[in-house]
Amino acid sequence: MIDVKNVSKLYTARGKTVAALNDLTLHVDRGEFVVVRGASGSGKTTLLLTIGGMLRPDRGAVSVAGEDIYALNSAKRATFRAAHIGFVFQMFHLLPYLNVRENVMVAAQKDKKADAYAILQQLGLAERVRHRPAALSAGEKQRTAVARALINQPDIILADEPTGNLDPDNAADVIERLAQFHAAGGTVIVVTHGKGADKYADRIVKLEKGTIADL
Amino acid sequence: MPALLFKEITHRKINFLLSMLAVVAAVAFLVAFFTTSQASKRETTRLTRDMGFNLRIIPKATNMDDFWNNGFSETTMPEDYVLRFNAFKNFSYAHLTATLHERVNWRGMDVILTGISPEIEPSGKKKTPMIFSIRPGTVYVGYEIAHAFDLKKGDAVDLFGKKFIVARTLAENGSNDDIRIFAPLDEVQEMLGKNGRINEIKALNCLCLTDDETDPLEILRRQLSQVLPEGKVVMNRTIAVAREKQRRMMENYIAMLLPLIVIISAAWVGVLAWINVRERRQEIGVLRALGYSAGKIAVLFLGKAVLLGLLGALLGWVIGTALSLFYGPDIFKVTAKAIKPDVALLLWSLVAAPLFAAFSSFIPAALAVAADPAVTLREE
Repeated sequence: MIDVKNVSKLYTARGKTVAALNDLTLHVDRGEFVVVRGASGSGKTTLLLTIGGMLRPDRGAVSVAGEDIYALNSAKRATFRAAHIGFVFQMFHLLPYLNVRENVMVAAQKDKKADAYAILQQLGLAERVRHRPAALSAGEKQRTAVARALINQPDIILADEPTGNLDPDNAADVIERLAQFHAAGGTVIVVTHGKGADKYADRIVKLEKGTIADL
Repeated sequence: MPALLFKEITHRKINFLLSMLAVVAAVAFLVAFFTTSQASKRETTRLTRDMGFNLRIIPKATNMDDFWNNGFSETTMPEDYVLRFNAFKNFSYAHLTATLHERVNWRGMDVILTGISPEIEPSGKKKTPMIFSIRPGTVYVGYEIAHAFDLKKGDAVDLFGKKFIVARTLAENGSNDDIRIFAPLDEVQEMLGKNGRINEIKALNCLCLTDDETDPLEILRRQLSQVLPEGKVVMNRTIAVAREKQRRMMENYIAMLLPLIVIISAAWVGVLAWINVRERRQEIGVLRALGYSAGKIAVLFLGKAVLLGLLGALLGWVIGTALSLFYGPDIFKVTAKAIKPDVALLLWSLVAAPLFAAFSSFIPAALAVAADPAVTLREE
């Protein structure tokens, strides 16, 4: 499902070059639940964004669902991303000027009004559809973000510290939602420091200095 | 997309209003500036025109000593010479008037009898006449004559056996016009036994063809030799130079202010666009993650700029026009009625302001779209 081959991503700051990803190779099967761990700056987010077609690597290739995503032009890669990949972020990143339903719909490929409602209902947000992010709790915000990630029925969910800003109950709830997606056949890669996702993980990957330290 | 655009605008009203204020201010200033500049040009033209004709076309054979001593040429030329100018377009001569002057003694006073014809405009443009048009059977009487003989409007006078009505007594002018009697050209020609003859064509240098390199008199003489080789032109340089200097001053003034205003407004809109983009870096990252292409995101920002430009142009035009209509007549009293809303400026504003706003927002938007999402999406 996902093939990351010899990928390197370099950053230069103050004349010093640092490898966020260093000749990293990773294969993830369809329907796999992978937990990625690592210290700050180990390259976890860079790996996730690279897999998501958001960050072109300096070297190597990334293939998702059989498509060499960086061989696509920017517009086609965006369409591919919308169709196949859902993102969940630690900071939720909801658009502050849209309400819950609109925040979900903003990601929808075609008219998914009914789907949005159904997903929001499943996630316990049916009563909050007209509220803006400022009026939501952290848990509700993240569940909205999960709904947004699910709206296009993606093959893959890439979650970057999705529980980092949540209390234990909400964190468990969000992980549970990701597990449900996985149980339905979806592929999940979740970057997390918490242990909550471990019980659902098919595999735990540890990153160190931009490379996989432990499988 | 439009819904996203409008919701973002209503969410960040202050940024939008401040950006729009920049466009409104720029458009209002430019509209007011252009409207009043036009008014200023008209006023200048009118005021300098009212300084009098600055060109005198006289027969080539005129003795210039006599001309300057008498104030007019003793030699005459056919009246139809003036008609020759009609065939020429883009000419430096404007407001042509055929005249016949002769010093006569009337009621024991030496006066100048002047016959004037209606004006001819070589450019074919409709222009307000510079000189009064005298109806048949009437005369205009100079100040000293009216004063000496206690003449008033409506009085009947006898001129060489012909009855005339005083249509107007002229205000004191401080020139030999004060001892002049103006009458229709054909009637003066008849009284003086000089039918079909004139001794001067008065004209105004329209400055249509002058440039910095060429002496305008050179151009005038060259043109005259094409039309009327039997005539020569005398120019009152004081009036001509004053007209030209005033016009050039206005043009230079506009040329200096215009880029300054555009640059300041562009910088203002650009800075606000930059602030807006800085605020929305994460949003841009998220939209990219959700499958929005860089092009779509750029359209979102540029669409906002275009909307800003359209609204700013409309509002700016209304404010600029209102300011011009309110203050203009107090400044430009002579041509006050000519100050009117300029629809062409509205159309220009509606085209230029959105382009200008889009251009000012383009660089911040392009940089935002190119920003590294690994950085922006981790920002708190």
